[in-house]
Amino acid sequence: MNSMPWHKQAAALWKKDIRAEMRTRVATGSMGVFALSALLLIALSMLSVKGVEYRDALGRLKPAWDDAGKMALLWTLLCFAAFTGLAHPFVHEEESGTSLALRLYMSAEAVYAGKLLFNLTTLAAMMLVITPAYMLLTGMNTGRLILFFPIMIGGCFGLGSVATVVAALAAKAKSSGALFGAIGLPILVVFLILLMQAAHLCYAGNATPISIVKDVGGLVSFGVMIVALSAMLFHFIWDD
Amino acid sequence: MSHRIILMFVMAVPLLVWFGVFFYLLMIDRSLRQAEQEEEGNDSL
Amino acid sequence: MPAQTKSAAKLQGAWWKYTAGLLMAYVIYGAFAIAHGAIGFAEKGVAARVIFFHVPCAVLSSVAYFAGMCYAVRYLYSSHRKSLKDDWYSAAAMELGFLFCILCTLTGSIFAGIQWGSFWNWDPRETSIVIMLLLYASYLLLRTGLSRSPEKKARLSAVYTIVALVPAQFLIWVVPRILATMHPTTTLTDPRMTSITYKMVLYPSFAAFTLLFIWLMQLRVRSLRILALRKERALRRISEKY
Repeated sequence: MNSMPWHKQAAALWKKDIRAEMRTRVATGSMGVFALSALLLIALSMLSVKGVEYRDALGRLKPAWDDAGKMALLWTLLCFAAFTGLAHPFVHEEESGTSLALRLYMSAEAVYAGKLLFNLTTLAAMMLVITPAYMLLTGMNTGRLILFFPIMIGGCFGLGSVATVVAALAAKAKSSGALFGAIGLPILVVFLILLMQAAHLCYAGNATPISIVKDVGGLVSFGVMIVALSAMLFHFIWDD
Repeated sequence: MSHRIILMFVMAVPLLVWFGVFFYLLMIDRSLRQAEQEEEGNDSL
Repeated sequence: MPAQTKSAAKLQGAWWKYTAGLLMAYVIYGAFAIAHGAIGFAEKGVAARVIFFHVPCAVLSSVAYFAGMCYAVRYLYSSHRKSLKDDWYSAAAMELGFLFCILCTLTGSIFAGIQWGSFWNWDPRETSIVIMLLLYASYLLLRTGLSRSPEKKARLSAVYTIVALVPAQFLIWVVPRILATMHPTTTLTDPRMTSITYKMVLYPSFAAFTLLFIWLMQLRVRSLRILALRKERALRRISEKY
């Protein structure tokens, strides 16, 4: 173990992973292609309900596929796209046999921080491309910007943190690719429910400060709790 | 048939199922005990 | 002790196992014969008799997760050598949680079909029990994927149990409270809401299901122990031969 502080080790690992990703483009490429084709499929299959309106119980006209519904589908898409690419950093270390060297030279916490940072960067880059494209194709509005950005950032944080710890677990199992989605998505379902609740608030007219704190706070606290627990437990996963 | 008699017939179904499960569990418990005693006997040899 | 090995195996702790059997029989009898039909429900309140089985299953399915998590923490943070025994307890609790989750979903769905007219209503508690089911299933899936080394399996599945505690806690405490639910939240915790005939069956029902849970868990842990012992013995025999 070398004497660098853990954040410098993490930054070094992050830089190394980014450089490797620039060279091979496995994670970003697979996520990008998956997300774009899923985006196309969603936009095409939703053409039939795009302009449809219905009358609710009070007799008001409402769009059948409203902005909150569009947001929900966007996050479903992002979740599945994330799960195609985010296992790569760990699977890559195990496959190329470099995990032993990492174990020797870095503390487990630094490895976790570096990998989490890398996954969040990749995810944020993908979201920056996919979200505007999705908004162009489906006509989704941003709603209130003061809520929209916290929801997107909190969502990215939660999704990335769950995917990172689950990827580390799945990389140790045999047939890890199949396991990764199966053990990660049940955890994310709960997160997506919180996210959709917050998305309703983003487009609803009657948001009180209390409900904003409750829903967006719940969203962010989920990610924070996952990161805290995984940082505590990561050395159990990492050290053999 | 009155409501009460029908209820008694319905009650018979879970009761029978429960007795089946209960005696099955007793059988499993006995056979496990036997296996445990065999293992302990092997260890002491 | 070869003489004892040959004799018929005697049941250990037989008295509480028979108590569980009798208590459960009493609960089944009481659910139909002692409790009156619930007031204000469809079909003379006959379907509401399911609560004697549905509610204990629901409570046990979340208690089981908690028990599994406690044993997982004990496994990971035990100061001296880690013992696989904690892992067996943790796994047994999670498997039973899965079982009781299925029972709870089935009984709840039957009740919903009779009372509310549809077997599935997307009530928040229905949603959360299905997600609980998924969490248990993915835990068991992870264990089958890690079958090569027992220590690794124990360590990684314990980590998964603790990480999945976050969504499980959100499901139990947060989701039913931020979404509107059809489930009563106070009926069973407030003693004034149920009649004496219901109490006479419901409280023994909790006891009966808890005893059944403990018994099943004990059986599962013992069988896991025997499997591990046999495997160890087979390995020893092979290494002695060569």
